[in-house]
Amino acid sequence: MKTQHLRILIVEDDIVDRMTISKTLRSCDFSTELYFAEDAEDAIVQVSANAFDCVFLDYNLPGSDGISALKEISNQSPDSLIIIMTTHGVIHNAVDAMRNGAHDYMTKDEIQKDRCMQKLVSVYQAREQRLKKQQLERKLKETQDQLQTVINTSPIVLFSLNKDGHFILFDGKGIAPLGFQSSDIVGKHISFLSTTVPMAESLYLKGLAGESGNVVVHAGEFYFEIFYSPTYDEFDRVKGVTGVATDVTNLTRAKKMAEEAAEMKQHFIANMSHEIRTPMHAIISMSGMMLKTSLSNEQEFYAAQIQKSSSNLLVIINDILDFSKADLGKMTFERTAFGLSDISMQTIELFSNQALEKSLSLSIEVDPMIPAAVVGDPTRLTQILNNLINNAIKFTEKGSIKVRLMTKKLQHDQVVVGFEVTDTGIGIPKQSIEQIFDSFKQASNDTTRKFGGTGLGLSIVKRLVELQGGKIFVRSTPGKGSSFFFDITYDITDESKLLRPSVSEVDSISLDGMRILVAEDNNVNQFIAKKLLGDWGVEVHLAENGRIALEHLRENQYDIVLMDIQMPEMSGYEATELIRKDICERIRNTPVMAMTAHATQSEMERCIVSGMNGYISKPYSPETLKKTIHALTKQEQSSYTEASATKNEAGIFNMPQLQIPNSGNQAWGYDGPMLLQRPSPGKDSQSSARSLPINTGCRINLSYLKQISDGNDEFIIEMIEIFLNKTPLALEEMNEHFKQRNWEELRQIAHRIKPSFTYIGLHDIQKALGEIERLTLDTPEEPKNVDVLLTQVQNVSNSIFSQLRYELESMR
Amino acid sequence: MKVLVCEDDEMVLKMVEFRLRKEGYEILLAADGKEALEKVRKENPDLIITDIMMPYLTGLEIVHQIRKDLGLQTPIIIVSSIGLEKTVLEAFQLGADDFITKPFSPNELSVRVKKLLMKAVSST
Repeated sequence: MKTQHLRILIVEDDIVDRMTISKTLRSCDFSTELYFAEDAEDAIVQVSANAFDCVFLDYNLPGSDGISALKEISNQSPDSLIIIMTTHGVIHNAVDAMRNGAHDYMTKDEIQKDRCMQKLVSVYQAREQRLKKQQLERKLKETQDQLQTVINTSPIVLFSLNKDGHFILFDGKGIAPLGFQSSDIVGKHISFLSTTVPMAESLYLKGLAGESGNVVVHAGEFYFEIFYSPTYDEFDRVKGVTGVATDVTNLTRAKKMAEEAAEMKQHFIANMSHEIRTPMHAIISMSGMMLKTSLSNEQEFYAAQIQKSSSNLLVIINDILDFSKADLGKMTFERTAFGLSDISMQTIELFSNQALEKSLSLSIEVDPMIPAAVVGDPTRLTQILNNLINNAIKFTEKGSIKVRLMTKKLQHDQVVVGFEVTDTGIGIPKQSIEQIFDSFKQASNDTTRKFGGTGLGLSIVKRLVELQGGKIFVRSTPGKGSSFFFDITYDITDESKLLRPSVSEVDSISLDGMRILVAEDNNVNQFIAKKLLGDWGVEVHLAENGRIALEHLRENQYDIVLMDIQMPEMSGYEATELIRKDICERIRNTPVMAMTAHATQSEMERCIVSGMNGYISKPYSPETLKKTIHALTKQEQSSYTEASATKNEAGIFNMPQLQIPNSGNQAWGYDGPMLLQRPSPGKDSQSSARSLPINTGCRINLSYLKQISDGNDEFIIEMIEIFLNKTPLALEEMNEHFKQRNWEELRQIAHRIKPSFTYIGLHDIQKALGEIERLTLDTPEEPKNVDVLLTQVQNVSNSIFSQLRYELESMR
Repeated sequence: MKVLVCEDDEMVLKMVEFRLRKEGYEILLAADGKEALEKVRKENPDLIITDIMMPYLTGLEIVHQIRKDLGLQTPIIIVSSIGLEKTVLEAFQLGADDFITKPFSPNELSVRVKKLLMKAVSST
């Protein structure tokens, strides 16, 4: 075997010994290459010229002692293994030699094949081990070099700390931005970094506690992502912390900038929405008004064109806004009861003229299995159908457009409705069909030129369908037509839930004799509101800003306030908040409707929080204005649905007041403790009782119960009966406990019966009971004002009981 | 799905019952803490809704007994009035899963019930 080739130097002055050993070595099963030297000097010359695997060295050489010869040879050739040959019986020499670096020894009388073979095998193995070790060392060095290259060129810091918190390693190009060098840190305690990297010490402690993790930390103006983990000793005890810190400053900055950009985008959209809608409102409303004056045929044509074009423009603007909202994940869906076939038919009707103009037949087919009333978002459904039908008409020159509603799955309380809009139009080329739902894509750029449109319609439709949990797809044959299919799952509800104001109903609404305050700074909008409302027989008062609106409210009683949001001096939000906090109950209870050009979700939320009751978005149609005012001013608000409104024109905040704790508390109640602790102007307790702001003319309001029960009378009757049965008893008990001065018992009853009053809309009483509860908590003496509050509650309750009994009679 | 409602206020009790029954749950009622625990043992409901202030045993004690003594992991919703936030925290520590403040919107209640039941189903 070639690998078993050994190069051997024999250093021996005795010719006989030399021959003996060379003969014996040759007889071994090793391929050997033998060299000879007669003294140490010669040997050293040879080892410096050749790399020997092994040197057989005679201990007794002329002119030198064995040990120094050994030392010199191994100095010269550290990889050569030296085997000392000694005369029989002088073993101590051999031991001495081995202590000084010899590999092995052999007595001269042992020179025979077996012995030599053993020595050679051992040399051979030693050599193999050495080579292997060298190879590993090379590899290790290579890895270390690679690692060092990474450390030196990447924006990272490699670190390692011992158990005492001192750095044993701190290296990498990432150090540079920190203004340090590796040598500044190594050997220092972790606290050295506490000003540069405030988090460092706590991360170290976490690591020491056996935790590993990944965090982004601040270091001056830089950001580092630090991965840290504990290191362990051979007994698996934590011996320190090691890790890598990566400079992610650029990434973090980019992310921040992207977030800021997204936010700016949203602000921009909200702003544009306002800026565009305000003039649009003037254009649409005024062209509408103009059409009602006497015009020449030519003028009428122009005015009608202005109105039609501006309405189309509004659709496009709404599309863009919707698209952005969906893009930002701000799209919201309402849940209202509505009739699927009604909504679909109404939508179809809107297109009947357009279809007629192009001599297209437009038909609808509704599966009779479809439930009459479902719960979902009718506005969004209208929007989807609008888009699809509009497209169908746009791309069809002759033939028909068919809309079909099918029941795909019917369960006890849910229905999956399949919708289909089929046309006989130009169809969609195969290569475009995949992209047809993508934003800004139409079948081709030619399409845009020829047919117009933003290319957002189908993309919005797809999002609208998907956000409602449905799917949409299209089948099309170029030249023959297209079919769009989508499905939406709706909850089924009772038909009695449908109370939809139809167009004829709008005509029957009368606002005649109302007094309405319009808070609005824009002259054009003032004019429009005044004109529309005035035509309906409404007495209109105008206020330039929120502050003036409040002054008007103090002087006059209004049925409703129409409140613009953006006004100089005092915004609509501020004014509404002040109205809801006003000391005068009449002012507090005036309904406020926001007139907003910002139809965004955050805008709506602010309206609710400030205490508004509903909103209408500009531009509004006269019908919507009338309907919304009517709904907000009549007793039964909850029966209003905006089923016939499209594009979120208007709405009523149907939320029970108590769902918004902060503003809700102030909305209908009195300012509790503050008013109570004010010194009463009267002398006796009777007059101080009168100064308490519970309204003795309180009226019950069953809308909460109706809402819960979906108008189930039996349930409402049962609830009223329970209330009538237990409340008088409880009040009597409270009186008794008051007399006995059992404050704790009194408090418990107040607490117990408190919620029942809110269910029938008497928030003032609920608050008064809450106040009693507060005053009697942990009190040894008679708490102030409890007597007055109790008397008040008692008095008001008597009126309430008779109202409830009357209500019961009429319901039966 | 069986839901146990423990509540001493009859109006609240009726309301919760009405609403949840309409949504298809089987409803067990308990007017005080003792009755509630008996029903938990006998009927093993899928979810428990309990008021905090109850005669004999408070809502907290009910939670404690269900978790510790009976060793049950049945989801529990605590019904509390405004001003009892501290007690709600205690309830959470004892192992309640959610809470709702009186007076509550029925929609909110049904959403919370649904959410907890789904969580319970997916974790088993």
